[in-house]
Amino acid sequence: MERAVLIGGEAGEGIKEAANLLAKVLVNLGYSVFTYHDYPSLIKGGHNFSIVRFSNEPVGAPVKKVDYIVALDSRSLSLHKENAKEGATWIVDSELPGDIKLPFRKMAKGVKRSSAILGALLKAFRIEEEQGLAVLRELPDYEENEKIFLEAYRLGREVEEIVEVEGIKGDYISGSEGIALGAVDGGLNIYIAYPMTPASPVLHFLASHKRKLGIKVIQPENEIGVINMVLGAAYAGGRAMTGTSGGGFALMTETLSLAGMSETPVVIYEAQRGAPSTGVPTYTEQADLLFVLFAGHGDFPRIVLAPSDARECYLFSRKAMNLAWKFQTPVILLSSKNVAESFFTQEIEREKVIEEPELWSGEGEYRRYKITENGISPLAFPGTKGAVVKVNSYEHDELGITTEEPLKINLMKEKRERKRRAIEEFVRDDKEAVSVGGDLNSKRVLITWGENWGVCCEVGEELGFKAVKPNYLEPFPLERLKDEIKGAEETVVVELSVSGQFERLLKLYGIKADKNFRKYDTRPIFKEELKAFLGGRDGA
Amino acid sequence: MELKTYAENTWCPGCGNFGILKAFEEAVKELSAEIPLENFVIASGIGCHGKIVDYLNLNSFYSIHGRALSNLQGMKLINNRLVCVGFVGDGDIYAEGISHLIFAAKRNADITAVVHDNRAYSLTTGQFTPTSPSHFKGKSTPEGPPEEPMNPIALMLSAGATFVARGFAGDVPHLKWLLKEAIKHKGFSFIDVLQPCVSFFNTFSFYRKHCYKLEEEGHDFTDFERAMEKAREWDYNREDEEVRIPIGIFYKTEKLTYEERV
Repeated sequence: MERAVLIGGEAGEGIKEAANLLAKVLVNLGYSVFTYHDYPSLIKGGHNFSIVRFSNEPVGAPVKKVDYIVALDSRSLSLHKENAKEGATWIVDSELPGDIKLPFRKMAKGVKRSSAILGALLKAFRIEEEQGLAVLRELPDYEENEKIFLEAYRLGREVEEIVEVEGIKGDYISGSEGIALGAVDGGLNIYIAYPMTPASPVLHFLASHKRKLGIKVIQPENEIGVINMVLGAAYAGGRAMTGTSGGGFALMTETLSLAGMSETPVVIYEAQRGAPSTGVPTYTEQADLLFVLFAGHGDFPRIVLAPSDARECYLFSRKAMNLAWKFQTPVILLSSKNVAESFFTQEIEREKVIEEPELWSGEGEYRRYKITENGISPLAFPGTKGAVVKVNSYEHDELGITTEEPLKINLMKEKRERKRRAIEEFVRDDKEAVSVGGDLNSKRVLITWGENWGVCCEVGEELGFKAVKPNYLEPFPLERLKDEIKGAEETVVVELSVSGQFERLLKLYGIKADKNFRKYDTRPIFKEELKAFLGGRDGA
Repeated sequence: MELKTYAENTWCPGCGNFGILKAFEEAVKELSAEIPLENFVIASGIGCHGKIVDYLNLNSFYSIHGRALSNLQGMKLINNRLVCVGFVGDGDIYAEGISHLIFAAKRNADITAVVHDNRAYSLTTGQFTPTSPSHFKGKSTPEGPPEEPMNPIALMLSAGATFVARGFAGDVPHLKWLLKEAIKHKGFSFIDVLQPCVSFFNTFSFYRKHCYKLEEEGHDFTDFERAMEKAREWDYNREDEEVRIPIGIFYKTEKLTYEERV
């Protein structure tokens, strides 16, 4: 049993909130829910819509066609005709033509309209009132919301029964919350960020929970200030992280190189949006890929991890924190809008995993850049008796003092290069370096990364394609990936980039695909689209 | 107590930076009775001034151009016991890193900023900086810069700095005293140090002739309006015979620090 509900209206009238309230009720009833939020870059007016897709089987991808449409304005009527399945039920504001009419706009103002929408939908699904009240109780101003909800429930009409189901039990969680909680469980001490869509939800989440989580959260003057404060915090021994999108990351790149040279552990969360430049701020793309892989002047090791859903956001964020400290180098979590701002139903088993980095033994003279076999020099922090901790943006000797001598320069460059190889080895041995899904026995393979994972797995299963994705983009898990596509009769690269950045990266590593599916209108890949592409019309 | 490292000093003979290095070394030695040496962290940007961190056997963060104060603010939020002193240049922090300077003052971050203000880019062989006078004939502006110099003292007062001073690299005992006061001050301390550059802008005799000490003329550094008047006494442009250049503490006040408020 699978259904999808689209809710449309103006920004500021509770569209997103209504979708999340409905989703929470459905999750409580045992459904797997995937919610896609679509909103333009404005605060009031315009047009927002959300699609709540739910099933008693796990779902993790957006769909275009829906069974129910809630329309608060005439724009929603005309825009979403294309989303309506045959026989879809239209639940509309009283002023509009439709199947079920409620005076949504008269009943409630602004964001509280979400309670009215929830009432109408639960009535349509014959879900008991109490299920709705349970999620409303988490909101401020419960009494007024309750009144609006009950009134809408009374005025609504039943359509079908959505029953409680066995099986799927999970948290209803966004990618952003996964990133935030993962960092905290990886030992985060301070989150430092400048606002930028779609990375800001992490900043907002951590800021609103900072006291409970025991962390500091600050918003400095710009991304350059941000990343340099992150480096300072890490130098003093604090686990520090920042989050931004492409433009902000561009401002950070000079200091990214400093992190590489000074061997300072930092985690940068980069949530991609439509680019280049200001681009399409509230929508998605995967066109920062090559920039992130190659950003920063000079040779230095980096790790780039790309999560695809909320659970991976949690796990990779926690891992990023530990890897940054293990290898004393920048780690970038490369996500995109529809991982960051979509909501998934997944079990997140929270557990603190804070691996201690290699620390100075306290014996002899401290050398911050001690030459070692694996390139990792033990850490000490300022304030440690007997240690003088000198880090340097210039090429330096073991003590951290500037040098221009060729022999010393070689020693230090080779030390960092050995560290890069140690990271490569680590990734080679990491069982999570590559994910596989879809139809595992198929000789037809979809190769993708990041946010397209859910749609590739679901379509793969239905049409007989195996889905493969690297979870590290640097160091690139080439052997594992090659193993997984060995013997494939057809390979298709699926990505969100007009120039095919991921396909070019694969080519760089000697993997040549037979076909590609590129989307770049900054909307996610809807399931129907990929099915149509791979399986002919309507995916038949 | 030996604070020097084995690094070879490569400043030009007679460079104003030697005075700053000496004043700071003496200040640290005297302060070390109260502050354990391992709690000092010095940071610097890029330029001739930056080399100072290589010469001192103290925890240090040799940063990139313009960013040293941001690094220090990050450290201080993690470990409030650290005594953070940033050595920055005039091109470094009044041009490249100006936003970080203004915000460090606005926040009252508990760090000290010491600007080696030689009013020239010297490590890049002589271009004009934000405090070069309009007659400064640099390599990029052979006819002089087509703009007026900025007044960093007035700027820092406006930005909310809680300790604002000017020193002269040619007066080591006075500078040592200023450094100690700045380091001991809880909150953001700022010292613009007039630092002659013997190669590209030798101002030693000019400063010797025109500098006077605020504390010798009874300046009340708790009075913001008087501080602003004193800040405007010299505009970093005038070089006539009558000009008087105040050095010493312009303004000092107590406010909650950034670290206390975060």
